[in-house]
Amino acid sequence: MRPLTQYPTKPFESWGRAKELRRMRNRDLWSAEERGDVIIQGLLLEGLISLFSGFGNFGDPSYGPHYNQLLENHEALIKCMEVAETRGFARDLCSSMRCHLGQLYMDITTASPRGGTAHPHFVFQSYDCPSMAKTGQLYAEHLDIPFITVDVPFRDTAHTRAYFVQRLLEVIEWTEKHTGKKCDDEALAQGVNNEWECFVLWARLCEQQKAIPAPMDMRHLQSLRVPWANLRHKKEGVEFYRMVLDEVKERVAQGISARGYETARFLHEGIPPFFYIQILKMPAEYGAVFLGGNTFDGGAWVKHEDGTWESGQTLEEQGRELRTREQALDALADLYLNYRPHMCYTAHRPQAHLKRVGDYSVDGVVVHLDHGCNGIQTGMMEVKRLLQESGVPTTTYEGSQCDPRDFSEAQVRDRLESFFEGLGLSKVAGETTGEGEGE
Amino acid sequence: MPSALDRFHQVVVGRHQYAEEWKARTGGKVMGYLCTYVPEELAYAAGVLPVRIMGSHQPQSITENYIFSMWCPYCRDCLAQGLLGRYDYLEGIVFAQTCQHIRQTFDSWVTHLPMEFSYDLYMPSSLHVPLARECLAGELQSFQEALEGWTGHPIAPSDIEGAVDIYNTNRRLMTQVYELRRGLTPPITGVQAMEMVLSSMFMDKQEQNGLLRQALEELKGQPGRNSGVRLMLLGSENDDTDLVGFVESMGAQIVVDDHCTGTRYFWGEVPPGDDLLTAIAQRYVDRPPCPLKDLAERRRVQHVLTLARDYQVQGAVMVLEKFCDPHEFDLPSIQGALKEADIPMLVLEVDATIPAGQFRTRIEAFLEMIEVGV
Repeated sequence: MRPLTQYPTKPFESWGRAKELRRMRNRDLWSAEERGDVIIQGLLLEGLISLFSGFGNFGDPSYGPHYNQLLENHEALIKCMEVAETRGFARDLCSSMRCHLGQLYMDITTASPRGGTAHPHFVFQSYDCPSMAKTGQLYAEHLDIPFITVDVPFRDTAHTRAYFVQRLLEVIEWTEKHTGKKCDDEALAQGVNNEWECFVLWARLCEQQKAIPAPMDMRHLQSLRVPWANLRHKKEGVEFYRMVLDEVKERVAQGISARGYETARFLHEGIPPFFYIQILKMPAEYGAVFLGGNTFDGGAWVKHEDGTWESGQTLEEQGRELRTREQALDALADLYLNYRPHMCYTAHRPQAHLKRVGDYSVDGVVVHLDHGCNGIQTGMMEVKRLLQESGVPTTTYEGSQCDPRDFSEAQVRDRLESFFEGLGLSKVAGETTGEGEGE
Repeated sequence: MPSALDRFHQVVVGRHQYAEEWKARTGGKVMGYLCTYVPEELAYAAGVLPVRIMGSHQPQSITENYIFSMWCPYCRDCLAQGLLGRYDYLEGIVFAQTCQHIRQTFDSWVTHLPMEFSYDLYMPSSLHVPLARECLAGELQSFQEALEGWTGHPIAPSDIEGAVDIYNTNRRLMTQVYELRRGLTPPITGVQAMEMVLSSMFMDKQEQNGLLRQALEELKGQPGRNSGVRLMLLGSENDDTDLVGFVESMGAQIVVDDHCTGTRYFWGEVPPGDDLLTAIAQRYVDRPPCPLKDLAERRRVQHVLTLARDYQVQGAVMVLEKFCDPHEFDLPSIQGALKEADIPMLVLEVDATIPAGQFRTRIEAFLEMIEVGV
């Protein structure tokens, strides 16, 4: 491991803007109906959010404040799970989806904090994660509204590209028909440009983590990713990530660290337990950091044959101008079919993760084995195997991204403490987790 | 001469021996496949024997380093068979996109058991939209070209026509055998029906067609048996003939099913059409869907209800692979639809092996409940 050296650290200046954006998004969401905006029920966190940019502001209640509040309130969160389970859904299904279904069946999802209920026009769900697609179907059946889904083929052949782009075109026409609104193709193109740029900026932000000391840790990344999740199709999202990237580059130039020490650099692979997100700060007790992990997945990456992920270029940098609806959708398809290697090349994951260890000067890897996740979880045991066979200290812990009943804080802490101490790390006296706050 | 049903049984228990003998006899290549959405017709047209890779229902731990133990036992059991060398005779492996669990089997297989030919076929999920068929037809074209590259010879349209004819005949004959189960005294048990379908997944279809014709002749004169409660099997992949026999030993008879080692495998033929690949694509789009490909219309619910009515089903047994998310997502819808149709359902969650004592109690109680009309 590395010597215990104290580095400067400071809070993120961009954090205030992130909070403003969150407020703006929630305000927009819950006033969408009053403004006559389109309201889409769907889990747009991962997929194709800019597809609806041509319809102006639109509301998407799925990842609204309720979801975040539930993650803080374990009792209410467990109630959501139980409601889904009493409806017959198995306990080993994706816990995030059970959380969404529980909210749905308790009429929480669409309940506005300002009173009243939002009335989504339809459900849209991109089929990048099978569990999300099936949840979208259940949303539509329960709310008795139309449902449309688009397969994301995650491979770029002549046939899959044509299929994907044609389906995107169909979704726009379908949306026009079901909402009575016309798609503004210029706004659509701008939205696609924005989504592309946010993906690229996110990848570049993650690449800053190669610096020693790392300018952020995974906890910071997790929080900074929130606007990516729901505003990456908007100019405010792009402006935010330009600002964050500038700030992070400045931190690297000045040697500003995430939390003051860097005795070891770890990766946390797999979606973290959102209800116990403080796990991402646990290495800091040992003066170490989690550099990132699945948070890198939000980037636009070029996958090289040797496993390297390199940040891609924005459409402007590529000299690609979007003049028509077809061009915009082709560019969106390109992003999802070619620049998201964690989904496109599952067999490639072990090699990519091993390469990441070298590229980011990593000392060890922690793999979260999520009891319910299928998508991100694909290949995780192979990742662990290859890392261990290659001499990279690697451990796993079992848990859940959303179900506290599948997570034992004491056991997981015990396991990780043993891992850190087995690598020769000792707890660092004093406060090591509070500096550089921004989450 | 053994009866056709006996021969099906022999092929199921001696599936590896059959494939090895086929290779020795024909000099052809054998290709494993991991999902029934793989268009076997094309491989067959290339002179390749497609065989479905399946587990052994024996406890194993060899996959622990490769697949998380909370992934379905079937996907782990399949990989285990490869790692244990039981499929060493395969020269190729093909996967068609369905669930992530069986994808993991494919990814790990290709990593640890490299072979001459491996192919990851894109199979759309939104089968309710017309574009899916076009996309699949295009992907079939690429698959055909890959097969041609592997085998070293072109696949002529007449080869595909011949293969489609043999496969359609196979599907038609198996449907005819299933028709015999509609009556009140079916001449074939659930175990025998499952062995018929399973053997079709391992055998040269032309040879199996001969046996199916023989089976139809042999069954024609048989009186059949009225052996209690008429059940349908539903659920995930299920090739556990012991489990089916176990259920039938308690005063029930399985008369029909909706799973991918039953009707979902052979239901529906390749329609006539000028463009052969489009016609093949149409068949795979139209067949009863896997839950992951049943996204808008709940075609599966309708299919299950139709089967239940046509086969005079009194109860349903959902055999659910542990951790099988696709079927777990559909379970409440299927259960609700059956309840509305006044058909009770028992859910049995299975691992590679089954808890016989516990299942016996539950199945007996379920059958008693049906018999007394509770």
